[in-house]
Amino acid sequence: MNKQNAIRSRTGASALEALADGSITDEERVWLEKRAASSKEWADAVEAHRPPTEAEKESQIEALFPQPPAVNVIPFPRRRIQIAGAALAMAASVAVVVSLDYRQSLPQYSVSRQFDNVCSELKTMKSAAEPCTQFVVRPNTSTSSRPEVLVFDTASGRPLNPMHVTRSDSGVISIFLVPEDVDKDLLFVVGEFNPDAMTLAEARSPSNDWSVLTISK
Amino acid sequence: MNQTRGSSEEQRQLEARLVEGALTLQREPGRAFVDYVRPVIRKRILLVMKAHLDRSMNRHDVDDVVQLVLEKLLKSKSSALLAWEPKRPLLPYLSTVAKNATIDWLRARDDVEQVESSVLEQMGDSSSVVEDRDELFKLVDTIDDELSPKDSQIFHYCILDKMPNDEFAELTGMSTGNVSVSKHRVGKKVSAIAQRFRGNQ
Repeated sequence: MNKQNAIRSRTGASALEALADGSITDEERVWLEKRAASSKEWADAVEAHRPPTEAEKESQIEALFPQPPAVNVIPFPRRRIQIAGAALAMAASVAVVVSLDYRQSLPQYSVSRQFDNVCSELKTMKSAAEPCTQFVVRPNTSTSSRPEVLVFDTASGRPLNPMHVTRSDSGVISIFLVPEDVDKDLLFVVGEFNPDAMTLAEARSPSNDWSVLTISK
Repeated sequence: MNQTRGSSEEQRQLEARLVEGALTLQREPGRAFVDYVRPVIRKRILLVMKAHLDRSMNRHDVDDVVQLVLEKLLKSKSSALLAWEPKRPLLPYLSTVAKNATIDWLRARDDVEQVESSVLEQMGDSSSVVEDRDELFKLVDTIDDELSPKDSQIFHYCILDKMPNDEFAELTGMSTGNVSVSKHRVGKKVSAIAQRFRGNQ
């Protein structure tokens, strides 16, 4: 470019560039508004050069680095639960997901193991150890209810204390267990109950207030 | 001098850290990288689209191409970021990536102008169309009131700033032939406006 001969005054093109990079002057803004009012082509160009809003930037980041669905982190309370008898031990099977008992008053749920970027996120929070497996309890129909969730080791009947339980607005519940609890036959109780008082025996008893889901190791 | 070298070195180190963070695909390092590169990428995309599109620019199209470029950088297995050498300045490199991606996007939509060889043969030297730059300087406001955004860009870069055709072609991804044709057309429009301006004086 012949800089010596360059004309330094702003043109419509340079006013658009100034709009895009935020260096626009009031005078240029007035000129562009006037031009946009008289020409659709200029109105479109002004709109195209408008810098992205914070919401638009956030949307872009969300598309590039999607957040996991969970929005709330709820620490599980320590529970003192009496262990039921050995008769409650579940037989290991090839079934990955089994839904034993869905109550009419609750949405139907299913449970699955999952290993994804949620685990990565937890690792960055230094709150999860290897391997990071989560269990996702998902309502088969959307629900706004916020049920309690308990996890039992079905072999021993022992209640397990998850590292984290997170819930999304759509009712999906993600449960992170310590590594030594991951590879077990597990029983999940989902519904309305007192988590500090429930035993596995009670969980297995028929109720309209909770559902029981199992997943084998 | 040392200060300049120092700040340049600091910038390269910063850019190397940003790229390294972006390649982890973690959200917060990714956000820092995107915030740093977005203005340059967006600016180049706007410039290239404006040079090529005969129709109005569409903000959604611009946003789409920005996203496309960022995805190419961050999600593609053949990410251009992997090919970047930290010794090279990052932003000019990404600006070129953005230009090429925009050209590909335009080409996929048949929005890249083809050179009309017959026009090239007929038009001769376009610089003769606009003879008096001083007069143009006085007429800039009048002229700009009548040009489209695309023509205004040609007018600004190629006629007022006298950017060589090959340089403007490199900047926008246009062929030098297309730059010549566009410059010729804008020059004729500008001349007509100038003549009318003179007649009114």
